[in-house]
Amino acid sequence: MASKGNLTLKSCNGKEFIVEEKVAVMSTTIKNMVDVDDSFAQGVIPIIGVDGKILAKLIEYCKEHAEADEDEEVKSEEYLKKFDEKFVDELNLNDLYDLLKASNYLEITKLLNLLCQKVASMIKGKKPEEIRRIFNIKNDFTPEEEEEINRQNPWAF
Amino acid sequence: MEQTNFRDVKLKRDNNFLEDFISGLPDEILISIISLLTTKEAVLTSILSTRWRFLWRYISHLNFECSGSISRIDQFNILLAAERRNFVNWVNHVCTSIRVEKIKEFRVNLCLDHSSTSDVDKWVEFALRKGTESLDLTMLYPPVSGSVHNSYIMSDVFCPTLMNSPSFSSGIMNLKLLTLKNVNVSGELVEHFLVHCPMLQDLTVDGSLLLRNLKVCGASLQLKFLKIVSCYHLTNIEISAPKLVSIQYKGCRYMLRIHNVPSLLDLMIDGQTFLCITHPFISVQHNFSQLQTLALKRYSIEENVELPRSLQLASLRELTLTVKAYSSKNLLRNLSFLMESSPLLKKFTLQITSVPQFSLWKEEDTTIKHLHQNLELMKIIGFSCIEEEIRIIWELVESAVALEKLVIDPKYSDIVNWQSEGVKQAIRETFTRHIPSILERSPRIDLVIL
Repeated sequence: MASKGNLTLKSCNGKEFIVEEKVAVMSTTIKNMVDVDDSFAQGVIPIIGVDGKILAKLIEYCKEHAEADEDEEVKSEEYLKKFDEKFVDELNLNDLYDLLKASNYLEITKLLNLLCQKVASMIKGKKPEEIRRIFNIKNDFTPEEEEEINRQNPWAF
Repeated sequence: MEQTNFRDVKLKRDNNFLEDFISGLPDEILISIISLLTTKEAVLTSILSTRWRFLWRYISHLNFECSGSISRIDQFNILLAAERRNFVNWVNHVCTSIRVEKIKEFRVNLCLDHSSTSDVDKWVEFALRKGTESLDLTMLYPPVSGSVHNSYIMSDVFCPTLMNSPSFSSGIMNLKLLTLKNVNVSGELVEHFLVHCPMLQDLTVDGSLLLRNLKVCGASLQLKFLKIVSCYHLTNIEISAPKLVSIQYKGCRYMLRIHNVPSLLDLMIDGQTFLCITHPFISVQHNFSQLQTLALKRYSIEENVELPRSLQLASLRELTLTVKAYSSKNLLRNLSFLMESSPLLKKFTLQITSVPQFSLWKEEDTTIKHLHQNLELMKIIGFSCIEEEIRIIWELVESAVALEKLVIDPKYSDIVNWQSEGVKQAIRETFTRHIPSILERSPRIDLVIL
């Protein structure tokens, strides 16, 4: 059991993480759970659909940002920017996908925005064929449908 | 299977999108992602797969930025005109296809002429009706001087028909940011926006030839940032808004009146015509001691001019001056006074547009007696390597005992080849020869020649 001021988060594959409450409540979903039901604050909070590896990543991110929110002197804006850059750069597509889903479910808005920015930067300036290749998107249009889209948006293509 | 690159990745994607690294995400995430793109790029994703086809219709940030050939500033090219027409039609198509109730941002950055006026009017109406928080119309060419005929004229968006429509009058309440660049808009219309958009915080009018008189006044205005620049026919402007934090004004007429701005921290006035430096201190009724940044551009310091002795700039951190000087001695006397009045000043940018040539003072004279303890960065723009100028800089450096960095920017000066390494080296040598404290002081002052 977590000591006072700490919460225990449990991933879907059974891994437990003890984290400071201020770190955990970066997630609006967890904050709401703790606010509504005091038993969560004492016991274990199950994080449905998020495995241990992704949960560890989420905690790593929230830890840095929670500490920065608390003390701007120690962690400057510049430091956080660098941390964010490194954080998203090191993700493979698989983790990026899982983190997007998890941060959406857990409502960690800052992280969700950061990850969306990352994906947008991967799409920006690329041709549809390149985007499909990067994300492994299968083109399931019939030739007729494809032609119709091109007709509707002649300028964009 | 078309692709083999990712076969080694374990198959854990949602059923319909095996191995697809993005399409299985919930709609709202995909929409957030494509909202970060320009609208052209967002619409382009509709061709990726059926999953993506209609997502772009739900974006709340519309950003029409033209690129390629139509961004060329060439109003008389017939081929470009046809391409521009296609683009305008496409924007119209996108606006009619958008399915969201509310949009957050509507931004147009286009090269358009007056033939598109009715279309742009419709976009403005669309954006306001959809309750946009931000409306930014930036036309890519400056209006032809003295003529509004070739450029977009914003007509009356506040006509009774529109104002009587509930969706329009409630939508417009959400507007927080309004930027009109190279859009011909009258003062009356700008004032209507101020009246009907109670949340408006940020207003920019840049390059409107229809702006003649403007009053940005009202005790209930929420306006924080105001920028009125390059409106060459503006003759009267009055600003009075209690929440204003920042004012940028650039205009040649001096019927400028600023009062009741208790929150003002940043003030930039570009007088353009080198009126006397005391002018802004008369036009602006403000407690200057709370200003954090002050920029006065294109003013002159004449022979016997003195800044008001009561001037206190107790909170000033950044000062920018572009001045024409008639006498070095009086220039220095005024600069010295400004520095003494701003004890917390950290950054000082100075551009002397015409340096007086003849000096009557003796070598050993120093005009600046006051030692400034906080100035860290001094930037000299338009340095032309005139002896008198170096003398002025020498005095400033000597008085700034905490100076860490001196930046010399010969841009806009008379020096030919100012970008060449040889010229830079020559400037550096001149400085170290004439201003020895650059090398002698510990820690050494960082001298940067741009």
